[in-house]
Amino acid sequence: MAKPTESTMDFPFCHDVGKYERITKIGQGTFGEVFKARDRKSGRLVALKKVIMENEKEGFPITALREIKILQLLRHDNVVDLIEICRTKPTQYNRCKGSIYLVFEFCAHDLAGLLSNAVVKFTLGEIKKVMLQLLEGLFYIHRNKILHRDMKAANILITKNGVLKLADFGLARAFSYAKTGHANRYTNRVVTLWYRPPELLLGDRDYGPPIDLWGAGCIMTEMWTRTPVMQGHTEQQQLTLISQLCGSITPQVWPDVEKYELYRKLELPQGQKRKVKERLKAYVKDQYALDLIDKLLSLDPKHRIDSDEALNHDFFWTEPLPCDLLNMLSQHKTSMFEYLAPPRKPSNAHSSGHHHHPRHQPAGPARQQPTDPAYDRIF
Amino acid sequence: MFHNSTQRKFWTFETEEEIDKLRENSNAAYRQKFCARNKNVSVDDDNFFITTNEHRVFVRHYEEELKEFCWKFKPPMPLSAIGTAWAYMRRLYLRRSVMHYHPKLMYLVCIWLACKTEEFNISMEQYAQSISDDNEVIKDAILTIELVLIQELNFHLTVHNPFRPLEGFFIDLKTRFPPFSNPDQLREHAKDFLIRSLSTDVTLLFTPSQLSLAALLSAASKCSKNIDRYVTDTLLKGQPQKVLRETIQRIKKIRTILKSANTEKPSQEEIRRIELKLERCYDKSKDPTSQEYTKIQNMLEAEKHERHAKKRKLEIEKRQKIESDLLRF
Repeated sequence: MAKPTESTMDFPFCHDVGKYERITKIGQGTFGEVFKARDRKSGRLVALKKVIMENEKEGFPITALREIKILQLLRHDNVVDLIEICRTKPTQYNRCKGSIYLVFEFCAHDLAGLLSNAVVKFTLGEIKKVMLQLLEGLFYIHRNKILHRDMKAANILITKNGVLKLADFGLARAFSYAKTGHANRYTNRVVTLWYRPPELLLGDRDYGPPIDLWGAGCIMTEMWTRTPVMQGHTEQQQLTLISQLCGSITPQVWPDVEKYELYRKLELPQGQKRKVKERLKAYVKDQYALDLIDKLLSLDPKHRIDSDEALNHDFFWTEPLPCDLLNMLSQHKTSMFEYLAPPRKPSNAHSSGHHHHPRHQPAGPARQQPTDPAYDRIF
Repeated sequence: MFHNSTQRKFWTFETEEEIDKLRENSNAAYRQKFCARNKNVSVDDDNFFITTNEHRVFVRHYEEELKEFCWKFKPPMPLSAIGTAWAYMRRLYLRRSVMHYHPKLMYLVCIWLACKTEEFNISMEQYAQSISDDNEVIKDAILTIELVLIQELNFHLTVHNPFRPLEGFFIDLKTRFPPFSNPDQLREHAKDFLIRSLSTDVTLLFTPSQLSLAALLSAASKCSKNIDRYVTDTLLKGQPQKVLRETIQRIKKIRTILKSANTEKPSQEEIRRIELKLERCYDKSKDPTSQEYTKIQNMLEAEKHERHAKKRKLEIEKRQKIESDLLRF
């Protein structure tokens, strides 16, 4: 994008999306459809993400504004790269209904797609490489004061060369540490239900990076179980599932948990023992892996391991060391995306129609359109 | 952060001449386009077209409107949102003339967009109410032009305002420069300086931290304080002479531009005159509040209708043909 000195009546920088040839639909992001496409000139493959603008009483969606701002700020190997922004031809005359497309580098797979394909096998070293890159990505975005807020396997992309990219910043936002006496008031209606940490389920609105690390813990477990570990249908049920795995939510393991209003309002299973290691050891044979998962799935966000500590965990520094994914991926010639894959767990086709991944989305309200605009607009 | 920002890459310029040139280009481009459609006007007719000087005065006037609107807004708008709105307006009118987009609407769109990007969250309902009672029209107009503005800004939505680094300097003064007892006395003057700077081109020439340092030094001299030693012995300690010299030069330059800039409000008569002139030559097809715009919309709507009708007709004919073909057998 050169600095144009000539002023023309067209938008000087914004290309028409026609420069890309659409190949196929590969997914559905938070605020639009995603297509695989090819640059007609260079032949380069890209992903086009359409910004849905209809029925926006508040104009250009703030989530899209955030995604654009955030992606322009972030530059890291493990964060998806925004190439440019394009538009469709009909200009301002069609009352803003002309579409805007975010153009991303194309990644061959997403983690959910890979995991749902039984032919794809990860060695321990390869799993370490996946987690290493995921945590490096999280470390980078958190250091830049960005929360992802939608960690899940489908949002973890992997290029054909085995480079992992955090993607879909449609729910992401900048955060700050609250000043004393001024708690943040972010929306807690973020993160797909199955990956949602207990503090959000209890209604926390002053949260931070630990919410993404809970998701990292769920994804890490999924590397072995191959399917999301806690598939609740409601927030209440999700909390029950969490308690059954991570133990009862009590002030003993989570000081000041009583401050959440929902802590008293919801039915929280009592007397549950923490069984993270015990229940997962059938899948996860490596003791360091079990230990790291245990620390990522800590109920109390203040005690949850952060990305820096996690990267220093013995898991990454004992044999077998993290090992490149290139070799393994080169055996698979086709792209694997959750959107295109058969359901990972047919019993879970309990979703309502407006969900983006009808086959995989939990029935929870994570991605529902805001019903109370005032509420969701704010954050 | 600023270092790899779109602001530094795309919206920071070397010289004032470069900036003037951009404004001249946009003015010339508009004239050419206009004359291509209206043969009876000459490209260099300064009595008909807005000149770059009038452009400057007119934008200046709307910057005042912007400031006032933001100042009065309830709940109080944070400085970052005001600064960002202001920066959007500067950027827009760098590559576009007021004849392309009438500022009477654009300044409201700039503020609306800045409130969203700076996370100062207000609803359109609330926003439109604070503009006028006739808010359906204005609401529609803002929402229509918002995307146009975003595109004109090339989706470069992050603005690094000088207010943040100013706070950084206060913290630094307090922690590393104890000889100066009460840095907070400089705050109001420094803020004034920065707000004044928004209506000059310094925001397109210097980094936010240079601007805030200039503001700090200017405020100090206003209060008859001297913090030069903070700059030489603390802030730039250990830096080569060259860096110190360059920094001082840049700060001086900022202060000179600001001093010589006419930041006075333009006179009512002058604005009225330009307004009348602009009424004849601006692009009404891009102003959703104009009749011309509605006309074009209706035309496009009719065309679309016609296209659809034609398509339907063709389909019916095709069907009838198939049916009659079938009947023949």
